[in-house]
Amino acid sequence: MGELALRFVIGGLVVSLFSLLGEFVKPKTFSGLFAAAPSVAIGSLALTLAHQGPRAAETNTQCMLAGTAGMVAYVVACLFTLRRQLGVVAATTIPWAVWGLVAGSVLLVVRYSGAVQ
Amino acid sequence: MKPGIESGALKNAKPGALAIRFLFGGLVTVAAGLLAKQYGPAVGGVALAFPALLPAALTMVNDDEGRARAVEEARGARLGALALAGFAMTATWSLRAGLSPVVTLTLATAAWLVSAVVMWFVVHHRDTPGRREEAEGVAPGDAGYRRDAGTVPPQ
Repeated sequence: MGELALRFVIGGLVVSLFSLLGEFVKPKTFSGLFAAAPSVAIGSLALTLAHQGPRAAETNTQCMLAGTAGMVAYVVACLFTLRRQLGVVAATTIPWAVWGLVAGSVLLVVRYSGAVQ
Repeated sequence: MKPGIESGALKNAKPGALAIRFLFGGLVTVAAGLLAKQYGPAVGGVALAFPALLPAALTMVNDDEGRARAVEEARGARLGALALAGFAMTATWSLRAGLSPVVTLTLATAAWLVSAVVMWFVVHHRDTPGRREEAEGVAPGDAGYRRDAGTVPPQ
């Protein structure tokens, strides 16, 4: 329970920090960089390194590339829904579904290819 | 267009919006930890690139400043997302090299920042407001539409 609370606080702080950085810069395309900052990665990796050691953290960072592919696809899906002016439900669910599909597919390919155990 | 400081940002900062981002960021980080615990570090690694801040950021920009601005933000976020690969690869290299956790996280974050900013300069440094909106197909009547869209003189 203590570790979860620590995760919550660290994750919230890092995300808020990048959020503030994004608020303080212009133009919007530049502040958008900070909306896709590695905020979850920094907090989570720090805790993984502290509690599970570098081996688990290395597996984390290798598989983060699959999540990165999902994140890029998520943003592309967001652009699609924004340009098409889709409703709230579609604009919310489509990007998340795309993230899961792309990240999961790349992870499966990476694991079955034997690149990561 | 060059990046700069938004002068009115501090005055316009909304504590409520920041609290929502703190809450969402905390919850997503907890979820990533639970996934790693349940399914192993590989699945936990995928969750490291979870879109924690982006959904809230795009929703707020869309609601407060209009669709054109949200599209701009998303175009920047696309580059930030690509730069996450730089974070992951640098962190992997640093861990294999046996560097300390603090150095690993610092190097990986610096790699993300440098690659994101370099890509931004390559892609967006010649952006002008009219050209951006014309490229995004924002139509008259849309929130954020500018009358000068499409009237940018040739360079």
